[in-house]
Amino acid sequence: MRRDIRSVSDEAWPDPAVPYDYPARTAGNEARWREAIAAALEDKTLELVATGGDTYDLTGRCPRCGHEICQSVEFDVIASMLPLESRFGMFGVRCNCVAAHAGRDGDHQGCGWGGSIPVPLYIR
Amino acid sequence: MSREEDEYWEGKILEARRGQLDTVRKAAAGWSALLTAVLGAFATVTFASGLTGMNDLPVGVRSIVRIGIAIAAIAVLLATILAGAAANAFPRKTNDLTVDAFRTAHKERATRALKRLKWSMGFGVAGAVVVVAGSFVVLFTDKAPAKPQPVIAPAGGKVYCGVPSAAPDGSLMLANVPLTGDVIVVAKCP
Repeated sequence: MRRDIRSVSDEAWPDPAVPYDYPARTAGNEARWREAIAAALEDKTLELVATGGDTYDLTGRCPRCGHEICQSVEFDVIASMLPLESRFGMFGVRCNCVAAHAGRDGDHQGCGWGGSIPVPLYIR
Repeated sequence: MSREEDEYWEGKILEARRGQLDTVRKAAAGWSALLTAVLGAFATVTFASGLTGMNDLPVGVRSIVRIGIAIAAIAVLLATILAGAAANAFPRKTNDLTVDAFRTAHKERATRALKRLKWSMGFGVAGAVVVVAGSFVVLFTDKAPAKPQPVIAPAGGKVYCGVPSAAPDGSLMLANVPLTGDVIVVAKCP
């Protein structure tokens, strides 16, 4: 994947004081968010917690702002007749912390990241 | 895409997640209707005429066609039952009304319905293939030669029964006795 250095945020993560920012869908932003989520899952600051059946809670700390987030993730969603690789999927992982972030309007939550950036998640 | 566009499609994703059971049931109902319509049309146009002409087929081919009809009937019956089971809910009781249990049960029912729909489609396709193949066999197989018919005939003061044969002069004979009087055609000799 081409990495667009100019569009990648220069912020040091995690930083609770980051302003609200909805990330543009650039290759650089996608790479940074995916790497951040993968690293968080690796060091267990983010975890997939089974809640029954195919549904998990992605819970822990936002890689960008460090605040608590919790998002429901469902694997193997029935959308077609074709078989798929079980317990693997592409998801939008978005910060939904309740902490205040400068520049955020009243209709939204979190620090804004990761927008609609697709992130691969799987159960080991 | 803009944030508004992202949020619209996130809403659609949420709808898709929550409507999995309805999605499968709608697909199963559609498949069931298609199966019924195709079988109805086929029964009207081809299958009935195929069955009517089956007695004219040679014995070996007739047996194969009969087996084919039995297989097709079972396959189509299973396809119809499974499609119906996938499309409809069977009432049940539960004392577990927690969110987790209800969500898991919803997904399990959707997954089970999808499996039934897949099997139904498999049986439906198998039945259709057998029906089409059987119809082609009926249509393109030459008719069996007519079976000689025995007769009962009085000759020389006695009554004979059997299949007449041709004499060198072209007249009919039964048991080497020329047939001169009336004959009665019978299915088989007594």
